[in-house]
Amino acid sequence: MGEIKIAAQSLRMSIHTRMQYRVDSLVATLAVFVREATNIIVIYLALMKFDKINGWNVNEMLFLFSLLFLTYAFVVSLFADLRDFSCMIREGRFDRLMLRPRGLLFQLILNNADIIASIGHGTLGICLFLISANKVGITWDIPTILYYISAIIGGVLIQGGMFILFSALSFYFVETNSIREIFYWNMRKFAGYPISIYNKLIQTLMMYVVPFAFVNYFPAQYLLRKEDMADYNEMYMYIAPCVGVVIYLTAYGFWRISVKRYKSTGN
Amino acid sequence: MIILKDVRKQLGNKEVLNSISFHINPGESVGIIGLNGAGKTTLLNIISGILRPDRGFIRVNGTENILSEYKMLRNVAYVSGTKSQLWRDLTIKASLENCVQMYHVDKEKAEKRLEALNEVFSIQNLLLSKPENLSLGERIRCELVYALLAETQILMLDEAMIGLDVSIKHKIMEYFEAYKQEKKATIIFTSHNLLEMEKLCDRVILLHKGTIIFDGTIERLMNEFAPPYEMRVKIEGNLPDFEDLPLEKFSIKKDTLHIVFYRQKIETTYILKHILKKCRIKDVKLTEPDLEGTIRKIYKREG
Repeated sequence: MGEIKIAAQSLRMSIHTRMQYRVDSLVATLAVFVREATNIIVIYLALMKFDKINGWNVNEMLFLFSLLFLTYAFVVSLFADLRDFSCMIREGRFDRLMLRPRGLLFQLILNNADIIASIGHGTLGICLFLISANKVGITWDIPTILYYISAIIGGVLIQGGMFILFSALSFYFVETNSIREIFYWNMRKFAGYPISIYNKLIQTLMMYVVPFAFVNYFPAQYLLRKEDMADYNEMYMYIAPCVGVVIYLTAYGFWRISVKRYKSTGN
Repeated sequence: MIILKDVRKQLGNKEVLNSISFHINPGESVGIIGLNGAGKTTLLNIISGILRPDRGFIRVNGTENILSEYKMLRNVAYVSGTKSQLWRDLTIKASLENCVQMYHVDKEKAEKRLEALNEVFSIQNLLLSKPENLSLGERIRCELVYALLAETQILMLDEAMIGLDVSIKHKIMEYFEAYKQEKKATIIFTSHNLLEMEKLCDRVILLHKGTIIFDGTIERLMNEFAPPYEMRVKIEGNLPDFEDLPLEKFSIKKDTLHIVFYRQKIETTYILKHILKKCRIKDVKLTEPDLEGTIRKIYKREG
């Protein structure tokens, strides 16, 4: 319980800090929203030229994007401190966490939550969902809603697990930002589209190495049942929400092992 | 009990600690003295578990690495002038609330304790600030409250008085003395201020280039290594004969005698009585060796 209270305390303070200057926060949130929305509008306009991409129409693509934005909205709140973790190691700020009688990850999770990015991405995710959800032929019954919620949680856990994994690499290498840049941020750009449009290498990467396919593609397939799903094991659609739990636990295990390698600079 | 046996640590190419061995009993307060780069902070970091020794044996209350056991961590507070324990993004109040949670302090007890600590550390008006908005002295006061709120059995204070003004420092030192007596807490203290050291510590460990060159009570340190006493005596009358006295040095300039002597060899009163046999004393000025002078002498000798 103590851990949850401390995490909640951190979240409250993050919100309080970010919202101290309300107009600034509003403008910053709007800026995040407009920046991300502009990308979507460009993609949308480009897609208008084609009827479909590998069988996916514009609304289905927007639905795919909505999952990406919604999950990221949670990720950026929960795991913001892990996003800048290598910096924390370099500056020796990690030492103080070690001396506190509390789990290290619990101290990092929800700390310094990027509420502005969270609201910006979340709002866009909701907008895209509202625009597309009724036009893609999904019947929103209870099992579907439950699957959808599980898929969101799974997507958050997958990305959170990736953040933990990349952070744990900081115990082995001084500079891990470039690894994160290549494997997280670049792969995330690919994840905006159905993975079936890419070559085998990218598909393999997105399913088994940086499993963004389980964040939005396979959950969307469960709800939309597109033809290109025939290229993959049907099981992937069903296990997509569980993949998050597996990735997160694996990442947590790797973190536990890696943290033992941590060597303070001593000053 | 804290036990270190043959602890060695190298950082980069520098051997920071070389074969360090000592033990600290529960309730003992020990001062670690050393020049810059002597290895004081590294030693504290090794005891706290932040750093692991390259070689050697270390146990803190029977545990090799206290970081691996929350129960042990709840009994240890480490305050450093350079490393903050406070949450960077939280107000002091929120940090203290987290401290109460983490160290499992009863809420009512914590409130009473905070009230008492506030009397000494005067942090009431800082509670709603964040560490980044505080001066060094203010931050250190908050760090100390954070550490003392949990009432841990082991207190490690690394340059934990920097930035504090004289008036509050005095109150804080008195608080630490009382804390030591009441809680029977083990205190490990590093500071460049030897007056603080003298006041708080039962024992001092002198580090020089990563090696212990003295480990014992301040009294023993003074007896064995203190520089000589110096006495200036303004006299009227004939100059007495000092040849038979075990003095280190004596000279006279106009009517003032300058005498250098060790108290272990001769008492001040004996010298004064000896002078009074021949002449009248108009004025006496005695300079006693202090801890700082003693330490300076030791380091000069060690090179």
